Amino acid sequence: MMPFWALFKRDVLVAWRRKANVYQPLVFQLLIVTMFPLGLGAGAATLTKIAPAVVWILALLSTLITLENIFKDDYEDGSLAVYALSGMNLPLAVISKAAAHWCTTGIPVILFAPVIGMLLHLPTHAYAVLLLSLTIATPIFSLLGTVGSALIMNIKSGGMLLSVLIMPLLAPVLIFGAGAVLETALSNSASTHLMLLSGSLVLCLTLAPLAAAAAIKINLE
Amino acid sequence: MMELFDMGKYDFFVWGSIGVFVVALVLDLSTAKSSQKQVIKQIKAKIRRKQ
Amino acid sequence: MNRIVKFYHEMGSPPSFYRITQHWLMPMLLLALGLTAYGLIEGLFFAPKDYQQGDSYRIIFVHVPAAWMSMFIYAIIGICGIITFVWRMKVAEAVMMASVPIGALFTAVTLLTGMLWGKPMWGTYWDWDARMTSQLILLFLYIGVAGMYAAYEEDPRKAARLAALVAIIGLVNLPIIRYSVYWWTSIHQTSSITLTGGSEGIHSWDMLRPLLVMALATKFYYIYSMLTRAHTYLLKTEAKKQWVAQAVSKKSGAKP
Repeated sequence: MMPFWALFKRDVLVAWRRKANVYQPLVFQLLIVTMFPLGLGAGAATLTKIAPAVVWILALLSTLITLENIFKDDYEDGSLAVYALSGMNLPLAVISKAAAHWCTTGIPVILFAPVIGMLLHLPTHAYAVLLLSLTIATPIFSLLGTVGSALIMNIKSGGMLLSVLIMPLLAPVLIFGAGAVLETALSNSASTHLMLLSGSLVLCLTLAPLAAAAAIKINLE
Repeated sequence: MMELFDMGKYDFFVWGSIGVFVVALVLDLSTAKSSQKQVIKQIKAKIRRKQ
Repeated sequence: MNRIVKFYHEMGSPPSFYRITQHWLMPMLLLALGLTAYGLIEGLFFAPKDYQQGDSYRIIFVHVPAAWMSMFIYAIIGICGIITFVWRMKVAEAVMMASVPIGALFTAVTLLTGMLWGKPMWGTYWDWDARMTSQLILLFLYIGVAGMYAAYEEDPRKAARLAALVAIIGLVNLPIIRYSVYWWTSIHQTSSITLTGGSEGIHSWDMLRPLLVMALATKFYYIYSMLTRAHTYLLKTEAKKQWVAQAVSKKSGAKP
């Protein structure tokens, strides 16, 4: 368990020192959300209607732009090879990486979501489910992100490929997550959506570290 | 003869679909063949250089 | 029994795979062409009209076989991906990467013919119904496998193993995508006319026969196209081996 914590602490620290990692997704969200009223018209009724989906898609996209570098630096400076050679349990290292990414990207995104919701006139009663669904879903983004990032870490500009690889994986998460907020906004029960979302989290937690570890092993060969 | 090709008001859609299908397969066939020819040419050139 | 085991082992080694399947190409192509001609002529000119959709239902004879192939080929890619990943078998690698272009093509054909069928039936080229949406995502999966391989082109073994991993992830993910997309449309949309009309669309043997013939024809064509590309793949990646030189020199056409 020791290397797990050491790695986690180090990653959080590195991300935190390079502040851009933390505020980049938030600035991105703020920039994009400004475009919606400008393009759609500022009518509150229109914005309320699209708010659940937009808040969710923005959270997803802003996470997507941070994924490329999860493993890249560690691969390039050779520390990833050291982890692998030191007999460290690779899937566990992946979980640690995902946890660090979640702490530095996921948590800020969750905390920022209500601001975006407010800007788009999200109905008041939908905030609880918005926060809950994002709390379940952002770890999924980070876990799937490790898979995508591990696959492309050896490629110079792999951002486009990363999006293509990860979009099919994220489609069900988007359906369940944005659906949950939408149903709540329409005053329906969102419990089915949330349960399916939680199920996705469990599935990702078990399978994504294995897939990412396999990709790392191939890349290090 | 012409009434055989007549698909009611659906001419464009039916023949368009068949066209898409046929064009796609011809495209696939030609790219598969041409890439094979190219690879064989490269290998032959390499063998000749060795001799 | 012995012969089957021997055949199995022979198919695992690139030279004998190449030598054996070389003889399959022509029959496969002829079968595919013959069956396509028969299926299309019968389907377009002789199968009875549908009482609801009129002649427009004849799109089914290319649309449904293409849709079947798009999923069938992805399954093959996934299985070959597992074999590539676990046993690092070269032939499985070749079959996997050779299947990607033709599979993606069938997926695109399914989407395009579906759009051409959607216009007269639903009044719109594109509708976000479950089938079209999941077919579109399937196309992304194909592009992902191809893109992964292309990104590592200079190191084919590594590229193939990473592409295999992507294919396996896609194979696990595919049922989840299909289930979630169907569930998503079932709550957001009233069900539209189904393209195949459920069990009612095809209601006579005269309609079913050309459809099955076309399904067979596309399978044979797939085998032909896949083998051609797999041969190219093996020649390219094993270019330094002795058997490639022999195979190439035997190949008719351009003289040495």
